[in-house]
Amino acid sequence: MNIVIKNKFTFILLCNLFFLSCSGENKNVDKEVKVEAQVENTFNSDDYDFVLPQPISLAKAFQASGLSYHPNLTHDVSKKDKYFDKVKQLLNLGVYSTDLAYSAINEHANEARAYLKAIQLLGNQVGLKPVFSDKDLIDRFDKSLNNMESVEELIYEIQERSEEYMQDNDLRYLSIVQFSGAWSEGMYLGIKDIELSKEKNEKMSVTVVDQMNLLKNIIKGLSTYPNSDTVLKNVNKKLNQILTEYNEFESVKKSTSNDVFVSPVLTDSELKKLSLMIYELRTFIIQ
Amino acid sequence: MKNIYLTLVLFFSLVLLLSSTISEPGDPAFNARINTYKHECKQLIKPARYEGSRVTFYTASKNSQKKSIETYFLMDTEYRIAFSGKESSVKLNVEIYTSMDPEKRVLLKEIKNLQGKNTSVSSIELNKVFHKKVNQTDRLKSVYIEYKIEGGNEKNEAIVMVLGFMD
Repeated sequence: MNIVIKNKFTFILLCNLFFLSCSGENKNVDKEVKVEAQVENTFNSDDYDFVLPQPISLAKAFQASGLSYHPNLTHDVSKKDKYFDKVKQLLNLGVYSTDLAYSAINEHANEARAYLKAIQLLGNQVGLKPVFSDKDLIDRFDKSLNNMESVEELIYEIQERSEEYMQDNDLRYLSIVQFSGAWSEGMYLGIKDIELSKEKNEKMSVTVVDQMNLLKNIIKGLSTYPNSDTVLKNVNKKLNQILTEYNEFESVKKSTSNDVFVSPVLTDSELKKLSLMIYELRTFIIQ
Repeated sequence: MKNIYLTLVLFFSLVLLLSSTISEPGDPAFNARINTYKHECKQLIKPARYEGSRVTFYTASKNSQKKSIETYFLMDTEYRIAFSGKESSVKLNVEIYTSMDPEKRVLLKEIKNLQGKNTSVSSIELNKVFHKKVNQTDRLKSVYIEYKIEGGNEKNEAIVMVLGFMD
């Protein structure tokens, strides 16, 4: 009897040890598969977090302020094959995302189609194949070509899938790099529009200022990128410089000294200074 | 000898039992529940378009804690924010402020006892309070959401937030 009991216990003990060792192995496999996922895969989220808008929202905010369509302002789509560095690919994925939205909301279907192909290519290159490998994507776009609402619908769908994929797979740092490219392109298009408009558009200046409010969180987000990267360091340096100079503008200092934040109205010289810094950043990103 | 075996078996069984009930982001059951709550939040903000979401993970402990999220209302349209406290067992209050600066911020909305349920809020409602409390003609461009998580039994939990806008 004793032997039977002893054997039963031994059996249960061995089973326990077996299951424990199995679960340990699984954890190791998970670690190997998700090397990149370790950045955010701790249980406690940061005490402070943020949600950045989608690139199409950046373009739509500018559009609502009266952004006109200027041909040839967007990034050269033929450059899409020239980016071999992952950070450059991510940054330009963002740039092309804004250009796609800018073309679509201004009903330039052919340009939008070319940008969709560009983001599909770069999306696949940066590891977002589950989002961008959909063979039907271009077919669906072509079917919607004469209906810009359907094209916008498709863009929203891609952005939602892309955002969710990156969040679910702890790849949020990739989306921040992409967003910084999208932001710089949006700011470039907005500021260029102010420059090219014959009449002064105060609403556009307000939208530029609104989008400057995103910058502190873009900079914070970029610092979560796991690897030390020269391109990213340069982008971060330029973004920090833009934010520092912007915060030193008299109109900005005046607005932040109020008890409640009031959007500053930038003077022409402040806008000029800001535009030069944005052009420099954008040139660095797309070169 | 029998007692040693019995103790070992009980010990390993306890370890197994505990490890199977701990929730974490890598746990499929936990992730499935979070996805369900996210989906419920997406339904709550409809017909608004999805703008983004954030899952805030925390470990409930004896002490209370705070977590916060900043969101932007970039476009001049209605934004909707949905929250799910269904993965929270401890008392959870949500406060929405104009900014993160504790000296300048104005409380726009307080949601009490979110644990175990879902709710949503519209920027129209927040803007009304903003205009009433602050002598401002401008609209809200961003809001600062603060989760106040009370103390409780040690457990890994999460709060889901989904943001959308009316197109």
